[in-house]
Amino acid sequence: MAQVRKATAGRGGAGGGGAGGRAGAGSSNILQFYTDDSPGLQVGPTTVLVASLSFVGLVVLLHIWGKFRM
Amino acid sequence: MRFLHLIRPVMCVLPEVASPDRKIPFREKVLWTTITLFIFLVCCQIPIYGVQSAKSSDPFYWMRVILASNRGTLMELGISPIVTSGLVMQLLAGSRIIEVNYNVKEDRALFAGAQKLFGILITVGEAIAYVVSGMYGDLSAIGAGNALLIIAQLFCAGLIVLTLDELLQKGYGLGSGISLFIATNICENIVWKAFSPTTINTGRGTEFEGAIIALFHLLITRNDKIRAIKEAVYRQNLPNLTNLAATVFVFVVVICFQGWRVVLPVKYQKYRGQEGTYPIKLFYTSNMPIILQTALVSNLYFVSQLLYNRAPTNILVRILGKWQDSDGGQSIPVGGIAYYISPPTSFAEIIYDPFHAVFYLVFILTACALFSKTWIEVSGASARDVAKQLRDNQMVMKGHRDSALIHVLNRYIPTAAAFGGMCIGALTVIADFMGAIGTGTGILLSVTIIYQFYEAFMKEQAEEMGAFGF
Repeated sequence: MAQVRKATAGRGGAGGGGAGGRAGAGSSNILQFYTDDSPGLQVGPTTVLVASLSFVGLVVLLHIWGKFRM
Repeated sequence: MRFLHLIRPVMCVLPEVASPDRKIPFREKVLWTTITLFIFLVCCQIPIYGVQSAKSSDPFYWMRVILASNRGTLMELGISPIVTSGLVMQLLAGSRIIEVNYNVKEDRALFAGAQKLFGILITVGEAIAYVVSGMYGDLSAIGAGNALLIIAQLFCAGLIVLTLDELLQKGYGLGSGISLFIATNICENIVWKAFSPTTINTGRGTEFEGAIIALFHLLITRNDKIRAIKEAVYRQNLPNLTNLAATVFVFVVVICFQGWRVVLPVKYQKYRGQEGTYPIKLFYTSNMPIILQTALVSNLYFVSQLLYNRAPTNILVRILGKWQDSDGGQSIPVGGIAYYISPPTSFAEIIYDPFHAVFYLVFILTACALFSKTWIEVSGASARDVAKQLRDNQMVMKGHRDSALIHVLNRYIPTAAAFGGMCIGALTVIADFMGAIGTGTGILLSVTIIYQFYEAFMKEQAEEMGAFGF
């Protein structure tokens, strides 16, 4: 039974972007808000990475500094 | 002048992750997803600088797991600002209070920008509310400088979550950041409760917190083996084997339900003999009803608790909810609306106050069904939208005329949405009652999310294979 279903789904998928895949995408897209490009302060993924890591580092430094000041 | 146009001036300062200029290969996607997860987990562990005490009652205690937030750490707010802003904006757009024309590119961009802006504002608002309400100690004890520092840290953490989520959604990673963080947080919680090596001194001697570790520890140290097993299975206050079994049970049930679907046969008009299927899942709206319901309840709790602390004698405030500090340091609702929409904590409580239990059940089921039905309209998954989508792809239902398409879909989709929502609600109640670890809502969320990731994973792999094949 499962195999039969798989086979039909596969055919649907092969037929030029079939319905099966689309339905799956539809339900997983529910929480996706920012799929479009919008004008804004463009940042690359590496920038995001570096920024978040440096923020984490900054807070850790704050903690260390706080310990010394005590 | 439309509301969306008010956003335009601030658009240029909102951080925006650039879309990838090439197709990101599967391996790189996994890498980015892992890095994102790593940053999230690190943020979950680092405490906020400048906190005096985190002992006062915690209004979001119920929602911590689901909102992927950790008390006293940089992830204090978790994803709650994003989720709240997303929900509010989608509901506003769905109910036509804000006019958005999704076919216009600028409108879509403005709408996304509005969501982001609103999310940032909520982050600031929540951060200020947390600090001012004395969650990190008395304002005078913290001092103005530290208070500002705390707000700044929470704000930056919120921005990071926002951009990380966007990073994944833009196609650098798999799925979305929100789902990833929720699922991670819940799974972490479950694994921790099962294998935690922390020892806690109970009245009967030291015991391990983790249920499975405790079982072996008890079996080895106790002389009476039968009593040891009983203790491991039924012990109160700490996670026991019954909780673990309940968790596994709910996991299995949800996975079974995930597979239930009605498969509608469709065929292409263009190509003769090309047939496909359009599956309508029982969980048509997936975990959305639960997320909406949780967001509603958590915000109601927060407001009610805030009001009750300010004016405990006001009659309206008392109708909304009466709160009491329990021994765990958490405030629990003991009266008013907040009490009736909170789950009964024990079997004895159901006997003692059956109306509460019945009201809770009815509330959850109705709320989930209604939210589910609303959500398909809002998110563009209603019968009308699906029919349009199918027609755009030149597909027709097999054995039906083209015009009958919407009728056939109408027969299934609203029913699937409402019934699926109710099933999700019922499962939550059952899981909570059996004491499943990580709350019923949490488990449902994590299973559905993991399932989505699995589907995405499979799709990616199939695409890679296809690329090689052609």
